[in-house]
Amino acid sequence: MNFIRERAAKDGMQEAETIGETVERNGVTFVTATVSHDRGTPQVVRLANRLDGPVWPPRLGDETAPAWTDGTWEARVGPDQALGVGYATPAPPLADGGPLSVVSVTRATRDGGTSPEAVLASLDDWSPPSDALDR
Amino acid sequence: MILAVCGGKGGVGKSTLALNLACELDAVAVDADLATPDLPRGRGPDLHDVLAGRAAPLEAVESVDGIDLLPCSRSLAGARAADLTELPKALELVDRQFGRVVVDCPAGLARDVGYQIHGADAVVLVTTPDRAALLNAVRTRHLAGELDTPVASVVVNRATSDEDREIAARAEGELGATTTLVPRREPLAESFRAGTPLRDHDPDCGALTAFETLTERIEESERQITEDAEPA
Repeated sequence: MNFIRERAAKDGMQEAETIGETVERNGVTFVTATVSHDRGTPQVVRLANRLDGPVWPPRLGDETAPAWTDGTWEARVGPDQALGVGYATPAPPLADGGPLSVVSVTRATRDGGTSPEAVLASLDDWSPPSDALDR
Repeated sequence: MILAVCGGKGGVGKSTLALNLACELDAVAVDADLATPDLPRGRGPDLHDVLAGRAAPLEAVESVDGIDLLPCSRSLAGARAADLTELPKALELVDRQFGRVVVDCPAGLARDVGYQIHGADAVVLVTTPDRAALLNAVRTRHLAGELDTPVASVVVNRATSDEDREIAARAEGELGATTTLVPRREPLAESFRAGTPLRDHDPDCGALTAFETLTERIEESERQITEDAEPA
């Protein structure tokens, strides 16, 4: 069993934290973790499996847990909330670091639309005006 | 919560409002007007140093006359060396430490303001009751919408007549956020020239009531914004 704590930042923007553990049993690694962040507004957090094998996400009957798509977990995490994440994989635990990496943390919005990066790129270049002289 | 005080047009009283809001909300005031800063100067490292990687954001926060301030200096070289993309991270670090940040944004709608609005959790739009300022406020509101940053509240500054009250009511409908009218008062202008919040300068000034109303409305918006984005 190994206890892991991962903090990650993407694009120098916002951070999220996963705290969890891995247990290996009969050649299967079980990962359990909680995800949280310290922003004041809800964030969409994406996590990726770092272990070298397929993700076996939780299933209920025929339905796979909706947060998982192709080895990537994505969900809204509210302020002061710690959300549980769990999955299994045939890959062994990593010797260095946790099984989950934080891919991105972005502010949760109610709908899609243009990405902030595209909007920022469309704005006029900023440069200090020439009359802003040292005083 | 990070609040960006912006409005597009220069000279509408953004910095005066930012300083007073920081005082009322017990927040850190960040002077993000990189080329023409207006908030009181500091003595230590400033925002230019932070955005050039020469100082950590928390190192640059200092207490000036009882206000927590991340100042900016009037240095063209400093402004040129500043990396805007570092701003959101710097704001976030200060927010995490102090719990609330009020960002005094420059005029205009170029990329510097874009990064400030993007890095904020909500914006406070400031305008005066004239056509040019109101149009700029609408444009700023549009940009904030594109960047998914909600408008916490609107301020119509330097109101002098009953007609301004009507303009504020229309601005409220147009901009989609509670609008507070701040009357033109000489002590307010004086207090800002002295670099002090109105509460410390002249606690009996009528404009202070407007700031108190505004503070309540912003706090209410903050609760609303947090709830709105809550998972269903």
